[in-house]
Amino acid sequence: MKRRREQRTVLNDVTLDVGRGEIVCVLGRNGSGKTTLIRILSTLIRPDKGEARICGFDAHRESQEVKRRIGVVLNAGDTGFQPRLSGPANLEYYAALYQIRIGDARDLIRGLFGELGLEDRGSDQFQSYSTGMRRRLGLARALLPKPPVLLLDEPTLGVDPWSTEQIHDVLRRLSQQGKSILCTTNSMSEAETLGDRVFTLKNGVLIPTKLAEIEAS
Amino acid sequence: MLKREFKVKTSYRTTALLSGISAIVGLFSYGFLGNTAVVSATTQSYGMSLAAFLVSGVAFSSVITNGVGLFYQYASPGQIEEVMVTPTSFREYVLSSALLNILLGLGTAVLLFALSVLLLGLNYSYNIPLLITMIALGVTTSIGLGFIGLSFQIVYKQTYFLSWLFYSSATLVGNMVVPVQILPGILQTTSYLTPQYYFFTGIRVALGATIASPSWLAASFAIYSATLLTTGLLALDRALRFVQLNGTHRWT
Repeated sequence: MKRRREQRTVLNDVTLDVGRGEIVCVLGRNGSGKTTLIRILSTLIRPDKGEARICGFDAHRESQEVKRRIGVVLNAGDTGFQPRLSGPANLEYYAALYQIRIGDARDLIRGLFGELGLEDRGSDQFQSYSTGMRRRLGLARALLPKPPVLLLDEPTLGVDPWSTEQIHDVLRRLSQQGKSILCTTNSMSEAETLGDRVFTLKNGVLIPTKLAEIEAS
Repeated sequence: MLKREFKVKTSYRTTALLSGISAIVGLFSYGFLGNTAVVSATTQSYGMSLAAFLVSGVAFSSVITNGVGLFYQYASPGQIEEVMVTPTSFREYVLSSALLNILLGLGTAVLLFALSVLLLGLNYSYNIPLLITMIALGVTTSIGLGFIGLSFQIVYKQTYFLSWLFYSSATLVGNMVVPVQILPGILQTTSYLTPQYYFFTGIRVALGATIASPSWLAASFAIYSATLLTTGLLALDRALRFVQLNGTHRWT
């Protein structure tokens, strides 16, 4: 894939495969193109050259099919929620957009709240949630449609180490269930602890990175 | 402090210019309304008193004045991407989100009109089929304008000029409160270009005592609203394609 923005090549001949049940982490500095990569894969923007395929479907030409197969955490996951609605009410809204029946959605949301440790504050308004809770709610939104592929853009940004560990546990469990996970981060320790494979995005180029190299750097 | 505020104010030149023009438009509207010919214009043209003319204009304005900004709040920078990655089409999402506002606009119109009849004792004649047709076309027009406004918002990140144009035209040349019959020739011609003219004129014909044939008006408005809706849908498709290439879904 290739993507230019304002005369700058953000992604340059990026080639990446994520297998079933695999967690691939993409490391990079701010502005390195991690978010652009996630936005291309999640059908929001088109690459200038090349293609992105999810479960065999082209992200641009078959975007509807792709949208049925992905769960996405964008912008660290805490945007797009109504501040005066509770977490479950916010998720019910997104469940409708994912075309999930309301009865099924309520059961799903209850399960996700338990899994992500959000059940204690279930009825509180979103605006009273801490940063960690907002991120976990963002992850719960991505998991609502039970997608085989998860695209996560810095899902633990600004989250305390305990909540980060909790999110990592959930992601590892999901990968064991066969979900393919692409996760961007600017934390080397996160890439090291979470990723089955790690790449570094530098000057628009994706470089395979060994965990030992991360430790050394 | 004064210098700083002045610098900030003058940096918004378009806003200042449009505010100035709005004030002048308002001034002219009230000036025309004070014209003694207004009373006879509403009686002769629509068969209703000036009070009945004004109240019906204000009461039904909520059907169509949402227009350009109908979908504004559903495409905020903090929400647009999260919605676009779901399988629900963006068009379906904004329409279903705005449904409550559309129904509230209709409810407000019915309530205000009923109150004006009950409390002010205003007399109207009722051509119910025409009234329903005009309201339905008004809603269609509003949705068409909403899609056009949304397209502007997605591409240009603001709809201030478009909203201003729409609201200003409604005040002066939309036949909402100022009868077009008393306007100077050039403004009368301009009014025929606005969708509000067809909507408010249709409402007055449906509620007035004149036995004017409404079919030409309904047909013209139907063509106009269908054109606006089609234009709006095409504009939204183009805007979504633009933003997919440009990548500027978020702008704050």
